[in-house]
Amino acid sequence: MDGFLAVAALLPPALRAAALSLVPEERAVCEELRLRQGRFGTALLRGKEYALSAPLVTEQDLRSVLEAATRASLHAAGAQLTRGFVSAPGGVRVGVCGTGVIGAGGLEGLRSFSSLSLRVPRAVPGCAGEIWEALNQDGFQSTLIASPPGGGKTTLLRELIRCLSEQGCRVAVADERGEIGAAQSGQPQFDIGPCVDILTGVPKAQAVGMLVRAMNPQVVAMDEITDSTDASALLEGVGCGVRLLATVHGERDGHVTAACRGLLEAGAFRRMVWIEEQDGVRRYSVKPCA
Amino acid sequence: MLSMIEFELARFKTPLPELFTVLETELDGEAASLCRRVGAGLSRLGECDFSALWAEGLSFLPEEEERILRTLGSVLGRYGAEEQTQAVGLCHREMELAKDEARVQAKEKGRVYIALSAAGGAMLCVLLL
Repeated sequence: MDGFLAVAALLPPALRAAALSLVPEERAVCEELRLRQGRFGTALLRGKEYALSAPLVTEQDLRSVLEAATRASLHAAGAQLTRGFVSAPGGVRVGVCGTGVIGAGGLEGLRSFSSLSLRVPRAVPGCAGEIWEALNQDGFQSTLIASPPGGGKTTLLRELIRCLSEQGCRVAVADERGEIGAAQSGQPQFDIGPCVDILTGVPKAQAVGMLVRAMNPQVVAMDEITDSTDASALLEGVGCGVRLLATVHGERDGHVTAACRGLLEAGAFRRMVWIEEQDGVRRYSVKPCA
Repeated sequence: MLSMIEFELARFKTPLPELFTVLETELDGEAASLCRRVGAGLSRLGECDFSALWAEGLSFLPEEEERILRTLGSVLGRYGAEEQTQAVGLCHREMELAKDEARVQAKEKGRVYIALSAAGGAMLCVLLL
């Protein structure tokens, strides 16, 4: 599945033509397409935004993208909208900015959309090749993947899930945003291997409990540990003898989210993979967790 | 069809692709055809808006039904479930009113035909006499 084409398919005709006019080398490194009302749409290539040759983005354009992203079902995407995104077909995550709709229960949704960020999903088979042996030394241990935002954590996570599954390991995936497997009608659109059970669209903390109780996994995988509820759910999994594979925003000097620091201190993870980008090339390093 | 759409949206916030798949199997005749056409057209979202797909799907319906249902094209899938349910409910009531009026008109026309045929019969008798 081509992630760039999945993103382009969400765009109205003029913007789609502009996106498709990017040459293959540009498409290969395109991380996101960004649409801001009243501005030119842009493509994020290697950390820098370049304007697309299309008319200025209108509110109708943004509505049209959201309509395509939600398959004409904005009413069904309410819970995601309150978390600032919607999951689109093909594993595309669409970040949404607009005006909050506040009700008795707090944030109920968004209106008057102002900008969208369409993340290009990618599968890079073999990207874990250089670290696979290190991660499997003495058998696969609970592993945390860290990098700054946009560093390739989800791509590596997806590949490690596939590799584990190809070895016959039962992997259960808590895919809250639908980015890991991009499941459509129950079928993952990315190759994540034969022994994977994937729960899509369920908040991670809840999903981990469901998977551990019902699917007898050997490894539970999830993307982006963000808060203490995610961390608590993972600790429960560890308590049930399940190994973990997860990602977190972090910097090389060891700064990760507070929720994750708690997990590290509790010994939930045995190994850590740092992803750094140097001269446009991603490098992975594996270290044991203290 | 409209009452089913109202129920699914209000109760389950069913995404439209699933909704039209369900309706296509539950309904028959023109309603099922409409759901099949619109459901099949959803793969073209992005290329065109839902309102255009909806209008295409309605094009085979009688004029009055098409006029009433067309308004839903700019509402379905675009707003919260509550707003959509209200719009579908309004459409449903308008449709019922239109059907009642059509029944009344059909009855009136029936009376006119009977009156004409009675008058014609009387004329025939007079001619024969």
